[in-house]
Amino acid sequence: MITGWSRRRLASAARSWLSLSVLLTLVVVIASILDSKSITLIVTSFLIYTSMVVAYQMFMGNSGVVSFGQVAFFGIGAYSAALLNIPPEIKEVALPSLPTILRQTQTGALLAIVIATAFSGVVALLIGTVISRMREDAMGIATFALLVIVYTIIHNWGEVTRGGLGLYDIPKVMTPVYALIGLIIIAGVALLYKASPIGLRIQGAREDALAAQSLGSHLVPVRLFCFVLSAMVMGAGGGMWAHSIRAFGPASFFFRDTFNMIAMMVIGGQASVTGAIAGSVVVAVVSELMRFPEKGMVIGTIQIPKIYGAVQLSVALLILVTLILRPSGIMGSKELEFPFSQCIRNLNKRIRK
Amino acid sequence: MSKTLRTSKISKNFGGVQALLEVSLELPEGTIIGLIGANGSGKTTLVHVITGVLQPDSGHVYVGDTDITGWRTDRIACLGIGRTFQITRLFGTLSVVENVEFGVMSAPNGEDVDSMVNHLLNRLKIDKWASEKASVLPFGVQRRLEIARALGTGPRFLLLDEPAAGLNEEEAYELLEMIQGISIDPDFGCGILIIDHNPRLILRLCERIHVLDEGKTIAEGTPLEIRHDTKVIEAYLGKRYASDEKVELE
Repeated sequence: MITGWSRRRLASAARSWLSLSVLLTLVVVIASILDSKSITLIVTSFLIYTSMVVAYQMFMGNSGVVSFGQVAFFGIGAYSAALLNIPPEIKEVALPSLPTILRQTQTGALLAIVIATAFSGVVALLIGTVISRMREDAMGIATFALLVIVYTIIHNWGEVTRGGLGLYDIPKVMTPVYALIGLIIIAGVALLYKASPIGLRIQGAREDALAAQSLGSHLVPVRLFCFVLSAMVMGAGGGMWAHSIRAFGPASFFFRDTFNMIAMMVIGGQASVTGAIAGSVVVAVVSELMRFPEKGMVIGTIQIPKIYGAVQLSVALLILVTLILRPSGIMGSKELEFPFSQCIRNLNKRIRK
Repeated sequence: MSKTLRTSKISKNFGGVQALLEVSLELPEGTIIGLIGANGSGKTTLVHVITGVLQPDSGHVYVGDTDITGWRTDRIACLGIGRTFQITRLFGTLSVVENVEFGVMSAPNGEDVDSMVNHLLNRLKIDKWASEKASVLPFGVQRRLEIARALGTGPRFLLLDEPAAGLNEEEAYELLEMIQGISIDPDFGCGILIIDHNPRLILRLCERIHVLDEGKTIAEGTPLEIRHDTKVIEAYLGKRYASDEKVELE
């Protein structure tokens, strides 16, 4: 017996995790068979972005609070991990004002990501202690303020972040396989959280806060836990991303990424981890396709002029279409579950025959 | 040890409107008490005050010797006071099973969640809707689900705010039998405070009845006493119930 946990929910989460893991592994296997540098880059980037959308889903999907600020933790994670793992000789030149211990340290990618995850959690705990006491709408606006604050600090704290110039020479160690392992772990955490008693508590509070309270649920710690967990996973995603891109600046953690991640969740279905992943796929494919009209293209003899902003415009339209036709997104609150046990039973029968 | 939920001289005022005036009520564990009164007589306000949704202007709420006045709603729930709402407040996009799981997960005694959920679904006869979303259920099933969810927390006291509202006569009596069964079921055995507008249902179901009128207690007693109380007949029941032989009391 597992006190407070439902075996049914745990089993369902395990099936979804296995299904998603198989599907994502298949994507990486196909990419490795195609053996193209650009496909490898796209797949790595997709897997890392999807990790962050899943982190976003953990907070927004479970709590129902529209957060504009989770991307701030993506930035905090990316900068923390990068600062810990840029080679000291680069830091001596690019960041001479860094504290000596940080300037002379190179932790390696894994430790840098772990520390970035923890640091994002600490920052989220400090901020979350205040904002988790707010009403839902006020909480959403507060996260927006958080995004602006973090962006402004990163943009202006030149001694540590190099401001608008950004950081460079971060060891590019992220491969599709590492990104896949990262995403599988993150999806597992998200599904386990969703199936846990504390996960169910915040889902109930999302539906009706007073009813949840009248059943013994204290909303402040429940929301705080969700906020911190999501921020930690976002920070881990940021750390992974920093190790896939070699150089970046503060513009990567502002409105555009916030918009894209919210789009991915709305389109995929924000109450579902599978939905977050499905939304990432749809937005990634649409974005890649709409890059052609952005550059201008020729169809037969017809020259189509450049359509500036075609990617953002098409994603925005996609959000509107989803909200009109299927407000709960592609997956709604459902998770992908391959019928593994049935397959195993069928296989057993065939073997016996 | 058996405990009693007690309100002592609770008063509550909303901007000059006296919603409750020195209302005292006792609900021992294992009993069913009815709370009746016309619309706006303060019944739901009293439940809100007991469960910490509203704070009283004066007076106290006790569980045994513990004064719980001013406690947070969730803390009061954890002490063993469950409730349902006049207008059902289910978790609409969650399934029936998940709604009940929410309650069971909050139970203090470490129940096996899955078997307790199954037990409640069967007990309240909602097992065939187990995988449906709560928002799409027929109204009568929503009412039963809300009771199942509240029972999942393992309450010592259960406050049911108009559980039969919106149900037809047949559904209302089916629910009545269920509530009666729950009160004597050793698995639950909690004290039940039931608010309803159906005097026939309340007179049949409850051991004692408390009558409110314009925020004040006008009578308190057994169904027989209440049925013949002139103040109650004038303010709420009407003369028909005093002489109606069809209303079975025992």
